[in-house]
Amino acid sequence: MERLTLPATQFTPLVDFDYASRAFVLQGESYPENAAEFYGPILSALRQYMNDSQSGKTTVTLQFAYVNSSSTRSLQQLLTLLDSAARDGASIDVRWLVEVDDDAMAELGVDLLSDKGSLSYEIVNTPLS
Amino acid sequence: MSSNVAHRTMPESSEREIFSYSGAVSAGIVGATGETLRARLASLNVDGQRARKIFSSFVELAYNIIHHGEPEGARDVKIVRCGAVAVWQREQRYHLRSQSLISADNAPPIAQRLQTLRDLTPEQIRFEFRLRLTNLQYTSDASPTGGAGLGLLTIARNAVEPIDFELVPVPSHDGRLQLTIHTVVQ
Repeated sequence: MERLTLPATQFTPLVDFDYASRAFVLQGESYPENAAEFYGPILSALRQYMNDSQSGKTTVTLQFAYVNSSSTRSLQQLLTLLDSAARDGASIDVRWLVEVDDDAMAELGVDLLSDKGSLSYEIVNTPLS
Repeated sequence: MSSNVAHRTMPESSEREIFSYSGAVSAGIVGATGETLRARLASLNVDGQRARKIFSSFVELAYNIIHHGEPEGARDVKIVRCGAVAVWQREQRYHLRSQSLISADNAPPIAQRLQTLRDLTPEQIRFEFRLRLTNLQYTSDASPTGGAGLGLLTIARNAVEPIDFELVPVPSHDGRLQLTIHTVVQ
């Protein structure tokens, strides 16, 4: 698959799906009016990658400054997809990066990830930007 | 809701006006006004945690106007939604108020959801948020664009007081009602 990259915008995060190195990154703000429209192609790409994927560890790094409720819903779909793939045997590590003083984003990470029983994940504090 | 909040037009002497907007509400305007609010909060040295909560509630209130609001003017004219959002500070608390028109059909379900939220404790709000997230894994919501009910729950999570609201018929607007939502962040 061809590497998927989208630059960050005011409303949407940077997207970098580097299939060759199995490293996936979403980073920035996420508050588009219609998150389903933005995340739909990303979910499709991820679904295709999981279907085609050979053995090897996939790393997913998520680092958000802000996520609105519509995006929260889409991230739930994304993480549910990853959890399902992990349940089927895929090796996936999710890193949820939060700035040290951002309790809300840390809490959202817990809310989104704590019920994903098959995923390996960690919530990592990062220095203030 | 106390009438001085629903009908507040000028800050009281104990209050500091932080931001207000009234007019058309589109995604672009949410972005522009949101960035203005962020800059204003930074200029006032509002700490990061508070500023993030204020911004979060502001965005949810503004998108709520887009997703549930009724257009101003004639019903057969397709124009953007209109509404107002104000942010002010009283002592160490930050108040946010949104106002918009909603249809008579939309009013009962929104009032029901707001009433339910108003009666929940912070622990129950957190539980409901997680429950809603979990349920999203197993259900497809009818509305593909919104937050599937997470928006009002997010506002409630950010708040230090129960969300307050008021629905008032607007006689000149063909049965539509004015919805006022008031929330307080600390």
